[in-house]
Amino acid sequence: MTLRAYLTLLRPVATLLLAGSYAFGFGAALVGVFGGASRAETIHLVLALVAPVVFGIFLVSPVHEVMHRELCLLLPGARRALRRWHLTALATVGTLFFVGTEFSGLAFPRAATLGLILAGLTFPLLDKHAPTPAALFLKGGLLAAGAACLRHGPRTLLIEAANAQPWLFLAAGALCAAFCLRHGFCDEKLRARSRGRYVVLSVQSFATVSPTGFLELNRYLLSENIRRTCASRNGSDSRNWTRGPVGSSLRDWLAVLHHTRFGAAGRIGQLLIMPLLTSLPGFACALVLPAFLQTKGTQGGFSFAETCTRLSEASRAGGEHTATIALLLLFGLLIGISAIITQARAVLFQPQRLPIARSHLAHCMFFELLRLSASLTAIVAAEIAVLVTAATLLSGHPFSLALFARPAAVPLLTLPLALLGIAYLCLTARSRPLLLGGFLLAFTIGCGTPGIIIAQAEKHESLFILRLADAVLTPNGLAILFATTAAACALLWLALRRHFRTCDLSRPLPWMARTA
Amino acid sequence: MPSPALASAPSAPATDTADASPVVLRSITQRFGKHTALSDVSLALPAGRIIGLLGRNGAGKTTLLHIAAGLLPPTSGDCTTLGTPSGKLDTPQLTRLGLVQQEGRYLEWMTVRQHLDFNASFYPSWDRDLEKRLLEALELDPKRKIVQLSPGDRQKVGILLGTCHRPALLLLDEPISSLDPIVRRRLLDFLLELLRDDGATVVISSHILNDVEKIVDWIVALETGELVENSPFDLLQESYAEWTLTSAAGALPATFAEPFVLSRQGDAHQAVLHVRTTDTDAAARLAAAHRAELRTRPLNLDEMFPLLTDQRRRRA
Repeated sequence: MTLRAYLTLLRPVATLLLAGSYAFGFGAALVGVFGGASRAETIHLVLALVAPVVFGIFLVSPVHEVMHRELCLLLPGARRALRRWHLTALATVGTLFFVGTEFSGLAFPRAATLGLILAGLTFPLLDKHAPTPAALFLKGGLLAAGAACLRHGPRTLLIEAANAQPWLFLAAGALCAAFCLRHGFCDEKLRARSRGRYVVLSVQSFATVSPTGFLELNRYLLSENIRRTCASRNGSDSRNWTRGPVGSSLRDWLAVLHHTRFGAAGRIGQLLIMPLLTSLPGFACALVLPAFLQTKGTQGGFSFAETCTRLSEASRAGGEHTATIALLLLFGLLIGISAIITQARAVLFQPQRLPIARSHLAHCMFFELLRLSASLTAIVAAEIAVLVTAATLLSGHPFSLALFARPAAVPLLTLPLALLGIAYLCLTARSRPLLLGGFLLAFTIGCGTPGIIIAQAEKHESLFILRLADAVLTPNGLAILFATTAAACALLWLALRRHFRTCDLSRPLPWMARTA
Repeated sequence: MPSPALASAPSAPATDTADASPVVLRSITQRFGKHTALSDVSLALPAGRIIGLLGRNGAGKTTLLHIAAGLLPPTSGDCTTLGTPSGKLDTPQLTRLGLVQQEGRYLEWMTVRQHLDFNASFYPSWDRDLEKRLLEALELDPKRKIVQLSPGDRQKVGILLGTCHRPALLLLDEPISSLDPIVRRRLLDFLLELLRDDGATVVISSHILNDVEKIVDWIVALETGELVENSPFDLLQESYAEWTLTSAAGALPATFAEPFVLSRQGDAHQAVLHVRTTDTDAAARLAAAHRAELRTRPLNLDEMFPLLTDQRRRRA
């Protein structure tokens, strides 16, 4: 395997940009702002702990992409070549990080730094890449535990322990690295990966393709993994239709629609897990960003209890620290809408091969999308409610329904906006520029709005999103919202009828490859 | 008279050919849970031939190829590929092995060109001229991303990746199922060329028998995981035939007791028999016994297929 082939696989520019922004942007915010670390501590811990883990993940992902395909077993010397190049990459970034820590100004022994870097870089080699809920929650839990270690108390303990026993850290790091390298590239694991059920794609794969390529890759990944998940469930019997004859009722055909997508897999499980997982990182950002906002001009950041108190106070109508709740509401809204539209896109644009009239299909699809939107809206609402309740209880405030005054606006606004988004998808499905333009516009609004809120908060202006949230729960607000939701439903109904009247059912997005 | 049907399927590989054979299977059994995909299969594939691997859906063809390529360790038994246990294939063997899969998983975000270059970097013997000729022959655009390709084009990518290093052993699992007849023809010509130039052993599993028939010179047939045929194709062509018996004198029997008669169709006065025998006098004797006029016609592979792959069931 040549260097050129490895670089083709690695996509170094994308890797550096992605890993760099995560490690140094998110990592610095996590350690320095949310964790309240000093400048020297922030630089050192980011370089010795956060960056190695993040770079380890991004460097190993392309290698795992190859390992998860049979071609890795067929290419001569692939295992050794991949290990050699991966080690070279790890050694390069590890050296850079180690040299970087020399300039941090923190009294932290070099041996301990090296141990942390070794362990951080190699630990991601053990990642199994199984998109099962248990595996994903385990990963989330590990990352959360790691993030918790960067807070003031554990961080101080870590620095003290490193200063007391630096060689122990080095030995532990070297042992961890040796274990991870041995198990990450052993023949047995390689075979297990290559026989793995799921298609594994790295983040770089998505980052380095065009928007159209991104959609195609995403669709391929979703459809393949759903197909493979269904195929793996209790053998072939569970894939068979077991409901008996299908009648002409809406209920029957909704069940068929679901079965074509998920097989006999549990409906609730499938519906709950995906949005739950997609929304977790968003809510993590929602917690970090307000802290970042409120910390500007202060020293040392916030404690966890302070953050909870601010969140709890801001949830009530007219509460202070309004930027905190404004960003939480905004993230809830954006996450809800994007989760619904992502799921709806998968339902709407999958090839339809059902023996059913087009008008009936549009009818079923309408109710399927309504059900999907309502379910996901309820999930997002529940997530926000849990977050606000947990923050209130942790901060020692009494629980009351008034806590949900502002958060209640999120689901009420999510539903009509998401339905309008789906209708837009339907109306523009045949025009790639319009569809991609819509995505671009939504992306710009999604990225720009937090900036507007932060700017408004800095100028001590009243925040538009809170005015909107406060207005929603008034009688007039509810009436307007109800009318908007009804209009969105009607528009979606018309758009679906128009789309399914003439679309190519085997290729609902005509500008995409027929069978990508 | 040679015994029909199962007689030609060896229960163990011939020891004299096993050493030269690129793939030797000894008592291979492969189970997936309760399902047995291969049951006690022993086989030595002849070197330097194009071997047709036949069988109905679920007969175990793909499993056999995966075991031979080292992708799948068998539940029991031994498999030797290119002189090495298939589970321990390493660089020297893998550079001489090519596998084209029915539904291969590639690096989907890559363009065809990128993937070819990526694979080429592992093979010192990668033939760029061959790659160029195959790209043209298969009408594949190297600039397209694999995720954007149709199933047929993805299959072409698999063929390119599996053959451009000029393997000594090429395993093809349904390589032509999604290809149009013109491209199929070109691919088969290429396989013949590969055999002629390099003396490669090619194992091709396919249900498009009209095409396979034109190139294969050896047939291996599986039936529900068991080996039922392992013979030169010429021998099969000589032994399988359709005899049409027409009797003007009286009614013909509903069944024929002769062991070489595999099936009977037709009516009381005309019987269309599918037979397997190399006895040149058998036809004349049968016609004389029933005082009937007889016409014979050799069977093509398409017609042979049900007779080859249904032997155990028919016997039962």
